[in-house]
Amino acid sequence: MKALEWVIAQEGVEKPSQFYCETRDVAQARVEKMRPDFIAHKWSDDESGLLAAIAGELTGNCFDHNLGNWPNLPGCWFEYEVDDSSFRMVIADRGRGVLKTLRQVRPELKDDHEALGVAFTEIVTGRAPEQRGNGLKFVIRSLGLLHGLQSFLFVSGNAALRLSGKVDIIDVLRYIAEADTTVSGTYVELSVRKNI
Amino acid sequence: MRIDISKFGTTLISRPAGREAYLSARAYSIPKEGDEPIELDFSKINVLTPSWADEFVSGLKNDFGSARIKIIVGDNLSVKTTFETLNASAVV
Repeated sequence: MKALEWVIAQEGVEKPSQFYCETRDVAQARVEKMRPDFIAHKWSDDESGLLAAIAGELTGNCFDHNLGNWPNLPGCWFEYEVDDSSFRMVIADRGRGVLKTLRQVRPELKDDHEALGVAFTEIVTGRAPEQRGNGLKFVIRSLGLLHGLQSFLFVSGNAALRLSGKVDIIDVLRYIAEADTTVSGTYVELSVRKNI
Repeated sequence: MRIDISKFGTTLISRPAGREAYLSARAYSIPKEGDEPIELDFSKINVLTPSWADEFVSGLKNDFGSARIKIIVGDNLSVKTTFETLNASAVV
């Protein structure tokens, strides 16, 4: 089963043990395992550190914003592949999604597109009054530093942020459009070529 | 005094882990009395996220005051990017 099929399946969802992280501890342990894999394939400390940090923030979001509120299956899908020249990662959850999360603090948000724009550009969090909301800004800032970025896709609801190649991180709103597939939680794909 | 943050691990990712590290540092690493500067040395860290750093640094700043806390960032790009992100939002 692929991550996208898993995240959009309506019922009878299996738990793909290879990639499924039911709890935060499992996800964190898998993120920590990334560094030796990067070292084995001779990735730089800068690139491997940023990619692992992005994975840490994105898997953390799955749990931070859905704990106690999972619609059905808790946890996240966390899959990555790394070799001597490329890295690919998929992170997905069957949670509430960005719009429902941010409407806790921004009830005026009208749709998924607007919610995604706020999530990636404003310091705001569904967990206010806690001082949070920097994770996705960090992800965008980090992507801007990865010279080998090939593609980044973040889907929630029927909105998608798509980046490819060298991106203008100051103006990410223009990269948000309609998603090919509607995802009630979140679905993220990242592909990077090693910068030699 | 200087706190070597790598004592808490070198891949520092999650909010719960950052919160736990902050509570431990407050209890065992920082003198209860005095007002000497507290240097947080991140130079041996491999992976850092804003989530972990926010829990740890903001907690200490709230308890001991921003003026006493000095952050040694080091060369790691995830550490630099984390603090650039947090500074941009004035969290730490």
